[in-house]
Amino acid sequence: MESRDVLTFAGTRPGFERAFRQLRTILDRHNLHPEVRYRCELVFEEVVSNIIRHGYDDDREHRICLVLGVHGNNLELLFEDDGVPFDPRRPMAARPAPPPDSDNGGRGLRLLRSVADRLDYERTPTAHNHLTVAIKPSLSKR
Amino acid sequence: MLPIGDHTVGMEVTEAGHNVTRVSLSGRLDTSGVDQIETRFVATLVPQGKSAIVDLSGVEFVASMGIRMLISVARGMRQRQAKLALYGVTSLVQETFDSVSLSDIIPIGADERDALQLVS
Repeated sequence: MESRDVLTFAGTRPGFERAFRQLRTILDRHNLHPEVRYRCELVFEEVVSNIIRHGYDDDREHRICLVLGVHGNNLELLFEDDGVPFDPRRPMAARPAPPPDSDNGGRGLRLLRSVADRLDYERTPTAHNHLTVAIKPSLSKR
Repeated sequence: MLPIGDHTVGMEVTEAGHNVTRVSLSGRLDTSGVDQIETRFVATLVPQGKSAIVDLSGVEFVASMGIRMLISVARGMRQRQAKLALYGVTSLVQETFDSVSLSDIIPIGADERDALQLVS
């Protein structure tokens, strides 16, 4: 990797918002294709907001760690969190499909999958989620 | 414009003629942006029962929360026999909309004239 940045932040809304600002500052340093940058921000938004909304079933304080690896226009994001197990590669839960205009149509997951070149997931022996997302490269010129 | 941290989300409401409201949004429709603007966006468009077009040319980023907000408003308007159309979508945002087939739910015009035809 040409560069590797680590962000560790509270699994709360303020923590999420601060980390998002820090991520954007880090991305400013790289000469990324606009599509790649957009996809990276989309992955961060969807993964972290999902953890905060659905990942915790207790009142403990939680931390989320992101390792961002940048090699040219190839980006890889590794998220580590101590929330409930969640593997975004798995098919959505077997339940009646919501109507297309539902407020809750699993769109975040669809967006995540649409911009990922590769998704790897592991539940560690220490009860952490490790999610790696390689961002699809852009096929267009600037 | 409403300041949010180091970025902003904006909303401007004007008349587009023919009893159609024009709403111009700008900034980021992510979790933070939607939190800031959703109440006003819904209150502007849903109760009046008038059709509307939404200019997204100033919107640089849309996540699933922003898509949920747009769909929720379109559904509320439809229940009042009003229509909603979007236009001015940038290519980056269009990729997001395509990923969730948004145009199957809310019509998207190429420009304002196109959007007005879609709600007429």
